[in-house]
Parts: sequence; structure tokens; C-alpha cells
Amino acid sequence: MAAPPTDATGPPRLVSIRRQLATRPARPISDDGLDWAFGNLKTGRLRPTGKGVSLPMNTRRDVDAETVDAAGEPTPERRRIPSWSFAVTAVVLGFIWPGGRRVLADMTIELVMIGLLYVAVTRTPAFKDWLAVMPRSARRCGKVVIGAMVFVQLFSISTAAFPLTQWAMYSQKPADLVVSYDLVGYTASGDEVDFVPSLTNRTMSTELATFTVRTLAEQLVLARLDPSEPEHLDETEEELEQVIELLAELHSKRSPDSVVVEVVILRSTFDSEQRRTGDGVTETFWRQQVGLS
Amino acid sequence: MIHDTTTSRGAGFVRSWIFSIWVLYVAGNMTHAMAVFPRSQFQPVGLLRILPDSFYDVLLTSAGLRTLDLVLIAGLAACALGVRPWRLVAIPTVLLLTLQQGIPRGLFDYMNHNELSALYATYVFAMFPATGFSVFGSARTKAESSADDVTSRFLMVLATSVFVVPYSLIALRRLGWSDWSIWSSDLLPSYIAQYSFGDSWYGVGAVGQTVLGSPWILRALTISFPIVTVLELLAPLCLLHRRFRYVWVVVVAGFHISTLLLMDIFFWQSLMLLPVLLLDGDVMLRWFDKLTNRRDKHDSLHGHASVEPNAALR
Repeated sequence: MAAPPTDATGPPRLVSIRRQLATRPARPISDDGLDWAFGNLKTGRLRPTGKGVSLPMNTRRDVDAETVDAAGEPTPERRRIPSWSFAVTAVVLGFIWPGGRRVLADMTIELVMIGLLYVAVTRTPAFKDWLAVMPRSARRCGKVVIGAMVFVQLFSISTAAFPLTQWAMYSQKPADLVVSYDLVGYTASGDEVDFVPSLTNRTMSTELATFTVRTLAEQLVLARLDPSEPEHLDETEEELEQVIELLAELHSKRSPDSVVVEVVILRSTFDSEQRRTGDGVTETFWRQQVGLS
Repeated sequence: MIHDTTTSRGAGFVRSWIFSIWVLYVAGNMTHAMAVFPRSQFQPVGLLRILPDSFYDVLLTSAGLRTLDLVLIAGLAACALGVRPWRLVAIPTVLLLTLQQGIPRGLFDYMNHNELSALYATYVFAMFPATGFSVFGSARTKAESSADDVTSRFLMVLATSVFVVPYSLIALRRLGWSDWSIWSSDLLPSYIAQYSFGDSWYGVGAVGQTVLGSPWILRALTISFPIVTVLELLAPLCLLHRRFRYVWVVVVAGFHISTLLLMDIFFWQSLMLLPVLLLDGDVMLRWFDKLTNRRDKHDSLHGHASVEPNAALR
């Protein structure tokens, strides 16, 4: 194999350590070297791998550094962005963006708590001992996974990072007036059917579809209150109609003995007193003939 | 430290457990019926965006989704049985599982959290070597070495970490981003009412409605809410402290059951993973062995003396 490219006059170039090792002539291992290797295998300082032995992280770094020096190549200079610059950027952005201060404050609180938890776990002797014997690649893998989860959480990324997501539950106070929706299906003979939570339809897809119906219904309520954008009202109605039609089709396919021809959405509202008694105010919010097309 | 006495066979048992859960889940959540929804309604979410539109044009048909379901069930069943070559089977299978999980989320643009913790733990099991446990075959004796055990312990701790970290993130969000009003006595009744009235997914809406009429239970729930939040926040400490871990498991299991009864929300996959990921050593495996009269075999293997060093990174 050809020697790695070097340029005596130019700046130091990154040269793969693996390539350097590949170009160096093999040297016989001395008895001292063998003794050293067996001694370290016994103590666990060296670990067997599929291709030979691996060194614990710190040791390996030292050996790599020595190898580079021994090869006579200039040690590559690593340009690092100072870590404080990220904090400064975050603070500047937080103050420039509207509402950024609040976001910055919340994010800082969350980040500080994450940091405290991280320190609490990783600084314990038991954890350190456990980590010390783990393969380097596995440690990196663990850091990447946990780091990605925290990143997505901090920046409130929901569907965009699937399969990772933001975790937030019971972290917002719901509105004082509780609203619930009932999807009721009717067959041609007028029988009421358990439209949504029938056993055959209890799948995640159906669950999400019914969630979508509720969301659209809520959007429709808001759109009806705001007559300034009639096209938004039309769009929402059309979308709701479409989802209900598809849900009804799905139900009828899975439960052919109770084909639904009409779907009614009942909307109930409960204030704090009505919640206690269960006597909310119920209205027929939506009525739609289905299966006509 | 958690799992410091877990054997490779114990980790293998957990692997079989998780993939078996997924077999049941996918069999009960076949996606082919989703073909009735128009293609235009589907927007790929997250990493699924890297796949081309033409792929989804083919996939989101009845035949395409049925094929996905069947291949996935076969792959998951193979993983539950620990077939080899492990990664060649397991990694494509978990990628297909991710795809299957992404379809309803992409159709309705809603991120359901129920399955995600289990999905993360499954990724970990797919990435690591499959070590000795087979439900139907005999246990591996030759390859079950101390090196395998080291890998298995790391695997188990990492799987447990990705499982418990979301609990901590939930609490962090509650503490970091919310104002004090969420700690008021009105929060939980509002949520209970929101999910108890109207459509009830698991048919338990009546329980929530009864609780709403009981001020004493509501008061107890209001008091327990910050306690549960603190325990959720400290979830990573489960990795370190045994007593805390047992308290945590009991509280979190109770929390999941209470959300089922009061709010019609059930994270059953998480509940199924709590015992296998958070009980020390090979407790579940021992129970399984007891059930299948394999106890003697487990005891004899637990003391494994043979060392096969290169198995660690096989």
C-alpha cells in the first residue's frame, strides 16, 4: 500500500491512524510485550475482541497518541468550538426572539435538572465501575441514544423526530370547561351501534382516527366562532366529513353485521360542578349520512 | 447497580418477552384496514421521510399493508425465538416495526406515546448480540460465558435506561415548563372528566365518573400527583438503588393502572416491561423455569465456569 500523502510545506493534514498502522512494517512482539498483554488480560485492562484485543478508552487514547508520534507525523490540530459559545448564542437568541425569554428560562430549568440527574447517576461509584468495563462502542451508542432523547425533549420536537418524540403529559392545566365527544353510529334499521370502541376496532389506528375527529370538532367550534375566515370553516367541515366517512367505512368492513349509515357526534360540556354530578350539557354537534358514495 | 447479576440467559428471556409482546400487539393492530384512508392523508413522520413517495404509494394499499403485517409478525416471532443470524433478522424487523408504527401516526399526525418506550427497548435488543435463551430449544451452554454476561448486563442496563428516561422527561417538562396552576386541586379532576365522559376506549368511563363525585379520592389524587412527579423525575436512580427501584416499580405500576381506570389511558406495553426490565437478576427467568420445570438447568448454568472471551463482541 502506498504511503499516506504528506505535504511538508502545507498545513498539517489529517491522516488516518488506521492507515498509518497499515503502512508500517509488522514487528515481532517481544517476550516483555507478551507478558504485558497476558498480565493485562488477566486484570481486565485489555479485553478480547473478535479481531484481537481492545484497550479501555483512556489507555487506547494514550497508545494512539504514541503511535502518531512514533510515526513521525504531525499531530492533527483539532479545531473546537468553545462550549460557552453555545450558551451565549442561546441567550442572545432567547432575548431577540419574541417570547424567547420564557422559552429560554423554561429550557434552562429543564437543562439544569437534566444536568443534576446526569451527575447524580454518572458520578456514583457503582455506575463508574460498571461503565469502566463496557466496550467503548457501546458506551458511545448509549450516549448518542440518551443525548438524542434529551435533545428532542428540549426542543419540543414531536412528530418530526419519530421514533423519538417529546414527552409531555399532564403538564398543562386543561380548560375550566371540560368538553367530551361521543361518536354514535346508527344502522339502517335505526339501531345504535357502539361505533368507536367495539372490540374489533380497538386498534391504535382507530384510536388515533377518533382522536382526530375530536380535534377537528374542536377546530370546528373555533372556526364557527370566527366568521372572518369562512374558507377555514369549510375546510374543517370537509375534513371532518371525510374522516367520519372513512371511519364508518372501516367499521362497516370490520363489523359487516352492523353497517353504519349515519354518524352523530354528541358534544357535552361540564363545568366544575357538573363534573361532580355527571350532568353536563349535551348537544348534537354533527350529523352525517355515511356510505352514500 | 441494576442487572449486575443478570446472566446472558436472563437477558435472552427478556428479549423473547419483548418480541412476544410485539407479536401480540401487531397481530391485534393489523394496519391493512388503513388502506381505506386516501394516500393524500398520509404524511410520513420523522425518519420515515427518508423513504420516497413511490414507496408509500405501493405500501399504502391493502396488499402492501397486509404484506407488511405478515412479514412483520413472522420477523417478530423469529426474534422472539432468538433465530440466527440474529442481527440480520432483528434489525430489518425493528425497522419494519418502526414503519408499521409510523403509518397511523402519519395518517393522523398525532404522536401516540403508548408504544414508544417499548419500541426504544426493542431497538437496544435488536442491536446487541442474541445470547442464550430459546423458549423451545435447549439452552446454549457452550457459548454462555462470562463475556456474554458482561455484554448482556450492558444491554439490559441500556434497555432499562431508554425505558425509564421518558418517565424522567415527562416530569422534567412538568416541572420546567409549567406554571404552578398544574399543582392545583383542579388539574386531575379536569383530566379525569375529559377522558371519562364521552367515548370510552376501554369501557371504564364509569370509574372516573364515580371518582369525580368523591372529594376524598380526588384529594388523595391531588396529593399523590407531586409525589408521583418526583418519583418519575428520579427514574434514572432506579439503575442504582434497589430499594428505590422497588418502590418506583410499585408506584409506577399503580400509576398506569390508575390512568386506565380514571382516564381510559392504558400503557399496557410499559406495564408488561416493568417487571422484566426493573426486577433484579433473572427473577422472571427463574419463575419461567419454575413453570416449565427448568429450575435445575438455570441453577447449574448460573454458575457457568467456562469462559469464551471472543463471544463478548460477537
